[in-house]
This record gives sequence, structure tokens and C-alpha cells, in this order.
Amino acid sequence: MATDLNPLKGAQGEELATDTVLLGAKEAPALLVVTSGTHGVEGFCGSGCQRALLDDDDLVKRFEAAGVAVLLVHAVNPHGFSHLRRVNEDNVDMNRNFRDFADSRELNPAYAQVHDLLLPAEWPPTDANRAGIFGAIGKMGMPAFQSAVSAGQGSHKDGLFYCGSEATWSNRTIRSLLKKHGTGRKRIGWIDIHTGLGPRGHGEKIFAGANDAAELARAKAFWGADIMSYYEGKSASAEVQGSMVMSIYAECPQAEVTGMGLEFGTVPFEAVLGALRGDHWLAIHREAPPATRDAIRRAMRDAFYIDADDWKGMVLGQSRTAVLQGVLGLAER
Amino acid sequence: MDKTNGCFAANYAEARAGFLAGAKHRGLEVVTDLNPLKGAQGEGTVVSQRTTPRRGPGSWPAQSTAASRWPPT
Repeated sequence: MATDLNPLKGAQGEELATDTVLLGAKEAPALLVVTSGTHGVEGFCGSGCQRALLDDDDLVKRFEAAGVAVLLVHAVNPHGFSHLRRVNEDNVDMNRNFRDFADSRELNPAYAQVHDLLLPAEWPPTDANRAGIFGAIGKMGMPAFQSAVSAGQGSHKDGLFYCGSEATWSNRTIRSLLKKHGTGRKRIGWIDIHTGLGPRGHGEKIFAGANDAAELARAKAFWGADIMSYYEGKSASAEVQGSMVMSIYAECPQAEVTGMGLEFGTVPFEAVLGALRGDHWLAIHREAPPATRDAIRRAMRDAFYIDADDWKGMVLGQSRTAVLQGVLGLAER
Repeated sequence: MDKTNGCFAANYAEARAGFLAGAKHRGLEVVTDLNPLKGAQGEGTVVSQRTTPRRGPGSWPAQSTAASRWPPT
């Protein structure tokens, strides 16, 4: 196992680290990467999936039988995981940070239209603010509103879905891990586990990779016809710029890549967005009373993790299937 | 605690401890790399060392119904 330590401390004063384990046929030409906690607090789910996988003797034997190596990367963004935030220590969204910072074109200018509405002076939001949000949705339409909010932006450092101004610690850590474990591999698959979008307990398979028909076809061959691609406008997610999976092309250019985000639904979109708004409001208003802080923190965890047996069962069953499908898809044909 | 619930943690420290325990169960070596530290001006430095990860104390309280009472947007 390899451990990358983040220099900051966690909410309980604990170490913050990205831990990795390599399983299966370790020297094989094919590698499946499974990542958790890219969005901090979403790591409750992905970590549980990885833990279950480590305890699953039957599944691990099938990795070896298929001749595929499996790399588990635990807590890509440990600071966000520990502090119950989706973003990292610098308010950066890891799945918007893997971009070309030399590109000076403005990213998602529509965000500026909604920033003040998303982060009002008062929390909880006033009736006037709620009316403003509904007005913006009515004017823009929900898809355009969702895109303006979540596509990623570089203009407001304290805002939602901020891409950052440089590669973060987690970005550099992931790139280093990909180089270390992916160099020389012929085929690399990637499952990045997320939560917060879609129906409760359903794992939406969101295609992750370049806008390439052959890659999308391969992902469908691995994981099924229900792979959704935002390039085709079929995903619960808006098209995003700077997602982590895109780093594979630079770090492992020799490999044939097949990736997806496995996104488990939790609570309705409005509740998720409300939790995110509260979290960012709290980051700006550190003077907030303890009761408000606790309510916001709890709302964040409850928006991205469902502490209920049925939800956990659905998550573990679907993630196990996805990992096995990925391994069998990557096996020598 | 049943096997399904045992995979899920109440906080990051517990999640990490569980992951490390699972790795140890499979006999995997633990290596720690200290990554960039921030200097006074925010600049990065790199320090690497081997160490044994430790577990932090505490846990978030059990999930409550606070979310449903939290003002909706």
C-alpha cells in the first residue's frame, strides 16, 4: 500500500492521506483504477465500496484469474472527506481542477449570473432569495441553470464548483499514482465513485473520458447500455471541464482508456444544492453560530451519504458488479 | 454490526482505519509519502518519508433528521 499524506490535519486532528492498494495480477497489461473521495464528503460511499472489495475473497480471486491489476485509491480529497466538504482545502472542486491553466478563456461565464443568488448575505436564505433562485431557473431553464452552477468556474474563488488557479495537491498526487501504476499498461479502466445525483440508491453510470465514439462504445460494452454520456446530453450531470479522469491521457498516453463515474443518488437535487450553498456560505461566514455550523455540516453529510441499510446494500451490490464488469472488460481478449 | 454496515464509516478517520485494516488483512505493505507542504507564502516544498499511518479520534454523531428540517432552497 502507498500513502500520500496531505500536509493539513483533519476535523479530528487526524492525518489526511490518500492511500492506495494494488490487487490482482499486479504486473498485468491491464489495470482497473477505482477511486473514492474525489469530492471529499462523497468518500463515505466510495470508501465503503473499497472496504467491501478488500474483504471480498471471491472477487479478488477473479481479478487474478482475469489477469487484471486493480488499484484502489482511497480518499483522493481527504481534507474534504474529513471536514465534510465536497471541495478541498482551497475551495477547489477536484473534478474541475484537471484543466489547462494556460488557457485564458473564461470558463463558464454564466456562473457570474447566479453566484450572488447562490451565496446570499444571510443564511438560511430569505424568501426573496428563494424567489430569485426560482426566477433564475424559470428564466434560464433547469438544464442551463444546472450547467451555469455546476459546469465549473474560475472567476469566484469563494464560489461553488471553483476550478482553482493551479493543480492542487490531490491533482499532483493522482497524476503521480497514474504514472507509477499506469506506465506500460496497455489497457486502463477507471471507476470514480461519486454521490449526490440521480434517484436514491441508483448508481448512474456516467461516461468519463474524451468525446470519442470508440471509447464510449467500449464503456457500453464493459458496463452496459445504460452508460450515460453528457456529450450526448443524457447524463444527470452537466458537462464539466477539468474532470480528473482526463488526466489519464497525459500520464498514460500509451493506454487504451475506458472510464466511468459511478454516481449514486441520495436526496433530491434541490436538497443537494441547498447543502452545497450552505457549505460555501459557512466557509465565508466563519463567525456563524455553532448551531448553524452543525446544521450545515450535518446537511452536507446527509446530502452525500445515506446512513440506511437499503441504500448501503444497493451501493455495495452495484459497485461490486461494476468492478467485476470492468475487470472482465479489461481482460485479455 | 452486520457485514454491510461494517464497510461504512462515521467519519474520515474511521474510513481510513477500515481501509488500512482491510489492506493489512491482505498482507499489503504500508508506505507513506509526505506531499507538498505549504510555506509562509503558500509555496510548495516536498518531503518524503516512510511512516505508519495512525487513526484519529472521534466520530460524527449518528445521522439525524436535521436535514429534513434544514431550510430547503
